[in-house]
Amino acid sequence: MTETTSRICTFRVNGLLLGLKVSDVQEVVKSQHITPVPLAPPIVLGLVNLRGLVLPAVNLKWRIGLQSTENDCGIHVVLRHGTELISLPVDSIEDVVTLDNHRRANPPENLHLSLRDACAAAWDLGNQLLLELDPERLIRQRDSENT
Amino acid sequence: MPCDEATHVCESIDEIMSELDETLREFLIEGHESLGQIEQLMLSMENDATRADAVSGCFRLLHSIKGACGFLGLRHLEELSHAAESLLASIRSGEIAAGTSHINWLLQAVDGLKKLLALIETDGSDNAGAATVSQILANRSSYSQQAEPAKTPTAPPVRISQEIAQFHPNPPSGTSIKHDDIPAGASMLAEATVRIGVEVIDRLMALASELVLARNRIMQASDQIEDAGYQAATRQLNLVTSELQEVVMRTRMQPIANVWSKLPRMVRDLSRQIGKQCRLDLEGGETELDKTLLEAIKAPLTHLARNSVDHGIELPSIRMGLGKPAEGKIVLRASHEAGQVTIEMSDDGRGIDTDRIRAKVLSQRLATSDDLARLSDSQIMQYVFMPGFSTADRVTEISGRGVGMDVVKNSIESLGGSIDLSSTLGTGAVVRLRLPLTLAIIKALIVSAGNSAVALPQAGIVELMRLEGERRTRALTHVGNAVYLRFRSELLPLIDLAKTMGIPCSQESDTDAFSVVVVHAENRQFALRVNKILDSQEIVVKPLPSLLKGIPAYSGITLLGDGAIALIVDPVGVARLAGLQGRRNQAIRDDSKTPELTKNTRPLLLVETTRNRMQAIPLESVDRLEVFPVNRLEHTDDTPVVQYRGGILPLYDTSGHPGCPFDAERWTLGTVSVVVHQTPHGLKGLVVARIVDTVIESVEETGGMTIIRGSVTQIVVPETWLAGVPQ
Repeated sequence: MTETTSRICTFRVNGLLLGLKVSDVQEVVKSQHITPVPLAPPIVLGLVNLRGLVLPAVNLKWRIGLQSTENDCGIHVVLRHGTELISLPVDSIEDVVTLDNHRRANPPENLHLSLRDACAAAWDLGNQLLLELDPERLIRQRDSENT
Repeated sequence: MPCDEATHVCESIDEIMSELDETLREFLIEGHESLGQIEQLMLSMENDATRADAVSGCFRLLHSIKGACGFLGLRHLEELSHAAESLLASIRSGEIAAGTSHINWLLQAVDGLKKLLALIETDGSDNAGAATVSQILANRSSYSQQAEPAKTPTAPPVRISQEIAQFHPNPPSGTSIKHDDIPAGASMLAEATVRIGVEVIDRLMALASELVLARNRIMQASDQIEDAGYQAATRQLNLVTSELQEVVMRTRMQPIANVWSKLPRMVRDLSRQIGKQCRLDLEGGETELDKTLLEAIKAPLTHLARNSVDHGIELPSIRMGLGKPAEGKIVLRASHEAGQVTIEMSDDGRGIDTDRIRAKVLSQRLATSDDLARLSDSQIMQYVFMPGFSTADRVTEISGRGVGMDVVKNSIESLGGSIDLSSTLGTGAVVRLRLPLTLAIIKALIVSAGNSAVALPQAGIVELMRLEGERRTRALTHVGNAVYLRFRSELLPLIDLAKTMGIPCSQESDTDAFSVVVVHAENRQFALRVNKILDSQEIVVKPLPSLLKGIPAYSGITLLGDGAIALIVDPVGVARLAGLQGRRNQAIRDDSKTPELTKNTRPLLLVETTRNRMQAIPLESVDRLEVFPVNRLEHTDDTPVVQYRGGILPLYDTSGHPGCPFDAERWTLGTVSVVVHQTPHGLKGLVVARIVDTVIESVEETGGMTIIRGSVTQIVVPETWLAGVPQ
């Protein structure tokens, strides 16, 4: 960890500012159509066709315990997970920001459990808080679901 | 023109390839590859001569080149690789500490080997390479003089240089081969082959299919544009795209010889081991199949070959007595046929004795003699594919345990293929496998279920039907919530695809027309209800993302012509979801498939009584299921009986009070279905209107009522139900 800055791709879901490390993001695509998959676990919203590759679309709102809204604008962040790609529908894309690593902090304790579980870190941007998601934990089933 | 040149090169490569023996060609390709690797390793040795992995890596590669030389009769190549190998052996053992001079010579040797390979490629032999080899061997003095002393003082001083001194007392000097002497890029063959990872090819396939979709959209749009140049360009795009897709498909194909080349040796060793003489001939090894399929048929083919040797081919003495040659012959033949690959394994052994199968079926109580009398010889042979069935009198280490043919059948069928057995007693047996060319592309039906379109693999589909109006009413039978389809005098469970998979669908009325797909899978038939059959097409199978693995209803994903994603539905998985259990085939008892039971659940035989009520009989109390013609019923005082398996089977009717005799006088049908129950006092028959299915249900206690598939069902326990019956 010799680098002093991190580059984060930021986006919004239900007004919440979220981000992913640029190195985990392959691309951002617009007007993606999601094909629903019957019998799929709740974390899978459906499948999307990315230039001939079929990727699962992860239900981010469900995963982090947010209200699902009928705001299907078709913007997806395509996430690298090992050798697989995962599509993450978001409400809007914000920016790619370069942040000093000393501003990185643990996610606040009082976050909703399922959101905190999916977070890798929190970045204080001065006027707002950016929650950085952990790709690995994100696609795990929501732990609180078992109880 | 550069174009002409390219064609010329291709032609000359083709010529070379056709002239060269296949083995030699493979050797050359591998040889060029190995030499490339050796070169890399040697360069890394130069930086750090103690690198044991590099030394032994070179040694290993050279050793295999040398080994093949002896086999192919390439003397000079062998001599040179042997010399290089010996030096490496000394370096490896620590006798010689390798210095730059050694590496130089080794690289010279590698260059010489390359030159020889190029020579073999043009001449077919290395006869003209004598001068090259002797020159390089002579140059060994260049390092022997400067050999650095070995690190271990006890090691004998540079043994190899003594050897060389013996061969070449006066090594000529200044004869080192200049690099220019070796043709650059020494091999055309090596350049004609590139190894590519499967994932790259898969990606290419995906991109090619994506290009097809884009092409389709452009073709549609081009109708509106009246520009001759544009029209020509789209036509060109159309052709190129189709060809590109075809070529990309072909990259996955490999000749079948790759998997079966090991079989002749196995057959030879195996037959010696058991005192037989067998030979395996291969025909059509150039037949190409998808790589994944090749891997998948390796085990089944090996099994079939073992079977032929062990069961098919007779001992030499017996063969001689029959006037056959002492050496048994097994022929494995592959060919392309109607878009499929046929693999045939035939032997000239004793063939399959259907009488022995009959006897075995009887002794294992898999069927009654009445059943068998109705079956033709080819139907009898199907018993060979039953789990646990073997006609071998003894269990050998090779085969005869009765596991195998069923596994072979299942694995071939899971690949979308079929297996077929025929035999003439005394002259041999033929096993014929039919396989699709590739697993990546399958024929599928695109059907609509609810508001989704899904793909159903065509393998296993028996029939398609459209049911509407009167036809629909006639074809369907409702039992509680379950629906059955009348299909060729059989009742098949009808599974609603959309409902089972939870696909949302619009409200439907009882008179709506719908389509039915009859599927045969895992030894049973069932019917899938879908809204409509949309299309039949070849689809490219993509694997499920790992987040969706473990859903039994799906076997993959595909993209449709318009870019839409369709799930490939596995009918067997859907049947399981719908609660269909593998039916206990009336002719076969398959104990291995009995599901593990929890404390309160047990398998039940679901029957409809003569008064159209549902009843369930614990399967453990069911000995057999039989159908008797009514005219075989005989009457005693009050209970009708039939003669059955050498005894008397009294018939009772479970729709009445416990122990109620069957009222044959009121029975209007020509046959009766009977559940045979074994008691300590002999067999008893319970007459039912119909056998519905077997189900696994949790039953609170023996007897009483329960709800199965939405119908109130009476549990009948024959032991207690028949308790009052006089013995």
